[in-house]
Amino acid sequence: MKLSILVVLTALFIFVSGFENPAIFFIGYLWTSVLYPTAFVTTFVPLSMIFGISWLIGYFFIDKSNTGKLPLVFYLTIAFAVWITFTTLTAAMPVPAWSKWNWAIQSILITVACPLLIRTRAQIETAFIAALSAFSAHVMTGGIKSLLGTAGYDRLGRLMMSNNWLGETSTLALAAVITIPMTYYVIKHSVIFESYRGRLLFMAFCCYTVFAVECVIGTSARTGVITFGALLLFGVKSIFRKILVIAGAVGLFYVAQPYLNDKSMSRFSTIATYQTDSSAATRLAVWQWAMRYVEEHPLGGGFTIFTTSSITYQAADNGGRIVSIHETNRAAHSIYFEVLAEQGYPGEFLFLAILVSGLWGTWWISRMRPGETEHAWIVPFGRVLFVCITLFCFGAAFVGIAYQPLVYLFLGLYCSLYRWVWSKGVTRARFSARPKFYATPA
Amino acid sequence: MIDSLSVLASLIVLVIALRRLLTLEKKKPSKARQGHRS
Repeated sequence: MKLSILVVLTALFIFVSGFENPAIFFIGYLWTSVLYPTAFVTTFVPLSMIFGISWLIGYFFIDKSNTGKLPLVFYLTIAFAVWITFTTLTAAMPVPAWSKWNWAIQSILITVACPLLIRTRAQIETAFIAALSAFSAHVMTGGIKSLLGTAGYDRLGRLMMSNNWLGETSTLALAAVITIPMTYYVIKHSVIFESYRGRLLFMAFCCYTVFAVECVIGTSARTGVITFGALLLFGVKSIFRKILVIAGAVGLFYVAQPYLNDKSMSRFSTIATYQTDSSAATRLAVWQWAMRYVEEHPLGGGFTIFTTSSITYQAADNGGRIVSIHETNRAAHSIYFEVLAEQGYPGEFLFLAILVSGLWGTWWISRMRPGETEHAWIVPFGRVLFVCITLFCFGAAFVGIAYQPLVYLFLGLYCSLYRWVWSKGVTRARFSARPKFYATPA
Repeated sequence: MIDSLSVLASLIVLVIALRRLLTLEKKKPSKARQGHRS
């Protein structure tokens, strides 16, 4: 009940602030989309719908003076939204397909709405912080509970105990890793926390990183380990720093190993022996099914087509013998195969084009050399978006979250950033392979 | 208890950020428009 009051009061504060600055309605929408409060509190009213209607009306009242060019991602996302609507019209199972379409389209449209409503640096960074704040509520709960000993696959105490969005352990582990570079940007470069910048904020970042890593361990999700490896590889700048951080992480792991959860450790160790692990074998089998399905149905089967999946794979039983197992109705366990079977070749092409275009665009901004100091923030912000999208591309290769808001919010913020860059004429500055402003580990 | 504390911490961060946004956007609306015109 106390938690419900807290959430409702905050939502009320956001709603009232929205009348002063309508962009806040959209920030509230982002916050509720990520936090998903209905899963753990009674909100009395549907917050997401209220903020959704509010930002739609608020759009007509925002300051539209900042009108830069929109990136390719924006148009590709519109095309993807149209395509998923088409495949839902022709879906093999229309009723559940429309039910999935209903929430999937809301996630996808975040990318389209973001550059239209979020136009200034302060708005872009506040939207980024709102998303981080929502993620961190889930990550901190998981991290602290894992530290206190309630870890283990499907046993970890989470804010959402349902098996969807951040209640699903692999998605939570992926989000936990992604929030580390997000937090680093906020404490190091954000104009919002400029006045608080200092040792205390850095200590808060260190504490949060411990909770995030502990949350990954607590989930026992191998996706988290792979994403964390990708963070060490792509999130840290310069070869020397990379080696230093990776060596430090490996050293720390060996020191901390005896104190870590046994169940998590034994599950992580199956990454090397995936051939005999049933969970990994299921994934490989369902991916093969997706490829076979799309060969027969090049335009895809529409949402929820994986409920018709039928797979046979070999895995070790309790006695260690390799046996043949047949299963039906298995989830995709990968964004790439999820989109491939559901949306066919055109949908897969659009989805990959969105990701590649987002990666290229954020990398391009992170390598710019802005002439003015007040434009310097675009370099680390472009970098952190690049790192977050890269981590998503790695981690989500093993989780079916292609239509969840996670990546669409980063792509939306990239669209807003791109628009800001164009409106300020920063693109005319020199482009260099070596950035002038070092983003440090974003 | 842990759930409430985690959510509370995250909400404090959000409210601080929103208040700062309102202050920043209140301060220089005219300057932003001038910049756009030039």
